[in-house]
Amino acid sequence: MRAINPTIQMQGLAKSFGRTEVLRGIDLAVPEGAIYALVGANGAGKTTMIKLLMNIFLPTAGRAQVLGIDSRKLAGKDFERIGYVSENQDLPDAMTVQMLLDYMRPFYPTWDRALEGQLVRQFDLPLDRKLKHLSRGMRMKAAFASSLAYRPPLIVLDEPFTGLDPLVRDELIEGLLERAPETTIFLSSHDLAEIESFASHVGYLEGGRMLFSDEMAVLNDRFRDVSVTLAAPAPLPPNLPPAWLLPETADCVVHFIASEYQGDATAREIAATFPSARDISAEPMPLRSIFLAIAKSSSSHNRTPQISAADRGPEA
Amino acid sequence: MNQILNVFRKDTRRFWPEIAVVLALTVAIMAMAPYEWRGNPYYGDYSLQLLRELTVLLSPLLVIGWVLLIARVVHAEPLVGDRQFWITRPYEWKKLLAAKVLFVAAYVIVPLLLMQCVLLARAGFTPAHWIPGLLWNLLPVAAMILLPLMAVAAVTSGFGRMVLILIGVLLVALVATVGMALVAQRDPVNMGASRPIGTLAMWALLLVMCAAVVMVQYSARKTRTALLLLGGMIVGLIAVSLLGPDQRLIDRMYPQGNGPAPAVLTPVPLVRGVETTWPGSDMVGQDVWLAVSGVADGYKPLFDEVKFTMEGANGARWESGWQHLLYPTDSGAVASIAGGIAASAGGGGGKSGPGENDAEKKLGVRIMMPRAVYEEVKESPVALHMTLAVTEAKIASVTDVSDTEGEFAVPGVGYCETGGWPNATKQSNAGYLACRSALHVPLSSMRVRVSYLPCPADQSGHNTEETRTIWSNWEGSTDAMPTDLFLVPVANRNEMIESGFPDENGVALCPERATLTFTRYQPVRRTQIGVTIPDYRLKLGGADEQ
Repeated sequence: MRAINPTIQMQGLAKSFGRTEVLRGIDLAVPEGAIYALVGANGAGKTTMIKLLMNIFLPTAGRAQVLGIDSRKLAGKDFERIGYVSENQDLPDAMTVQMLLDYMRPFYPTWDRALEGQLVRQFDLPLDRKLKHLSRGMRMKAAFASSLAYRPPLIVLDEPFTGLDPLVRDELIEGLLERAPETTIFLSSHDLAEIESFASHVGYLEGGRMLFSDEMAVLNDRFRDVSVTLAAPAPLPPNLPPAWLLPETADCVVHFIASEYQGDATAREIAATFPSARDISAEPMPLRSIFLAIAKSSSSHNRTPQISAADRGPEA
Repeated sequence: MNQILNVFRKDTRRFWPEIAVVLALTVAIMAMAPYEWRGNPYYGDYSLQLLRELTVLLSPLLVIGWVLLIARVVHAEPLVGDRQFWITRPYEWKKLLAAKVLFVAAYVIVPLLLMQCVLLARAGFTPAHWIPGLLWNLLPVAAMILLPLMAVAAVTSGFGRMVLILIGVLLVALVATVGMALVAQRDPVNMGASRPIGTLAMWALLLVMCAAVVMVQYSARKTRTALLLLGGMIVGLIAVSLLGPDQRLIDRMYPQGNGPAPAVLTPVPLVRGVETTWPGSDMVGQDVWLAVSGVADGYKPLFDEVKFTMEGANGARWESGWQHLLYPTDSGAVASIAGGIAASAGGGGGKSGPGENDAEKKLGVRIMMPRAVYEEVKESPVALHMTLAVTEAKIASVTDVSDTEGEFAVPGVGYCETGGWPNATKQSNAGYLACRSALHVPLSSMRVRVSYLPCPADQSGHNTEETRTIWSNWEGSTDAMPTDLFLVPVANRNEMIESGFPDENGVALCPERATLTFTRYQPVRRTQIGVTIPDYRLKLGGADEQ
């Protein structure tokens, strides 16, 4: 991930509520044009991070920049360039969809009436219904429409698909992806499956720490599910490379997750570690398995794996 | 401007039912308030009385309507919380605040001003003439109602919480009032004093602090800071109520040596009041009698406050603060005072009517001191030095009205109406005088003098003819405060005037002719007058004369 012209940048961003540390010194850069998925379990700090970015909360330490603006100064006209939708946002329920769109339109100089119409049709929005009478999915669609119609260069979505049926979710993702070429999207989710298909970048947040942050393609290349078949049963040697996660052995087979897989170089390293190896297989992993491995490894070692974005130089 | 109008339009569209209720109440007051000053205020027909009682309910209802309206419009974009839709939209806080102020102006202030103009017109006044006064009158409305409501709405997320806070504020106000009453019990003289400086200080504090709360919330949404400001304001209000800046500022309001003394005060040697005590108070009052002379023709000194110093022969010295003159006794009561009764002239106090400046007048000034001080000095003479804060008023106009029935205009005062009047019915004992003024009661005196003859039914043959002042009163104040009339801008005063009475022979006298005299005064300047009584004895072994 290039750190040049990041749309969102965080440096040591931290937030505490009383004695509870919710975010602990996050460093992150989201490049322009990315679809960045921030993933983590409930309570990991995703919503807090987004609220810090939107200047809803003030950071306890560190700083963040959004579209080149210090997040603490984000206000008024700055939001003409940001589309924010959150699952727990209080919408003006007394308004109909039409009233919401009519009301929002004058706020945005770049509001595109044609796009508004397109979104209304695409999402099949009932213009004459009050928001409070809409289903959760429809409310999210209305929020999406009112946040996409002005073609913001940054779209920030906090758990936008939570609780939605697959059909509505696909409609929203489709609507979102149509805007992707002209915008940067930063969204949070606790469901890997829903972002795996379209995110270009992914970050994993746990306990207020960013366990890793990377491009999806790089992530897929880096992780391999490795199985080594030995000539005879043998215990795990000590001092295995730290990038080999969750090593275990059963009979003649050693199994681990290679988190820095580099083809032949890794194969040679394995052969050197296990001289009696008869067969080595390294299979690509689905995102879910990668995350589970990282999470398990993190909790078993109670430390941040050495694969965090901060360790990867200019690549965030 | 587009954003202001956009938000304003949205709020108008959304809250039209609340707006309709407020406007309906405003129109209802506009329609019904004139019944307050129509017809006999004491013996009108039942439906008229009922309408008057209903009208009294309308003003509180309108204020409740304002509470609802302001809460709804502020909470449309709540300032408390982190889930609001609008905080991640391109609202500019100044424009949002301006939109809310525009809303309050459009649906509270403008209707209020229009209603007041209509009421003034219906009362016979020209509204355009009173526009500055009406705008000045918005100060207490804004300070006491509108801004506090906006401030409380700004620190709450919903109507329920706002009502809870308002109830809390009312409870605090109740406790503070009780506390202040307990404190004031020790200071009976100043207990009932409503000095304009203290009131203005309170309004200023309310305005500034509530405006600060609103600004903090709209600019930064710092609810904790805003709540601290609100708490500070309540503490400040209580402090101003208890301590008051009046004592320190009276010297400024009434500068010493501000021109020639408007009157010469000399002690009246033979007249002494009795000591006065109050239940639950350690204060003792003593009436000191002064002769008032040297008043220029066409002027009138109005005595507002007194402070005094007592020095005993043993070197003991006691100095009071400024004490409000609640009931300075007027010259008319001198006869009874000489008889040992410290009479009190109710109402205006310390002021006599027109044409009374040519003779020497007497003024009874009640001075208050702690009982311990009184006990220490009562047996021996003291040097008593009194300083009186005085307002010099000039007679602006005198209007005599004779033989009238119905409504008539009194220049500088307003419109008055008589009914059941002695001259009309001869037998009536329930005449009334009802006067109405625009915005506030002007500083004035009203006097009713009636000539009596034996009633037509009298068979005694007596031909007694007697003229008496059967009623006189002072109204208005010398300060330049906005009207305390609040919503209805017409000051309405009704007086019942008993008429017939028997003479010394038991002959029933009936009114033959009545003359009403209205005198309007214009405050000219304020100053202080000092008077020293070198050998004053507070107590004379039970005697009231020396």
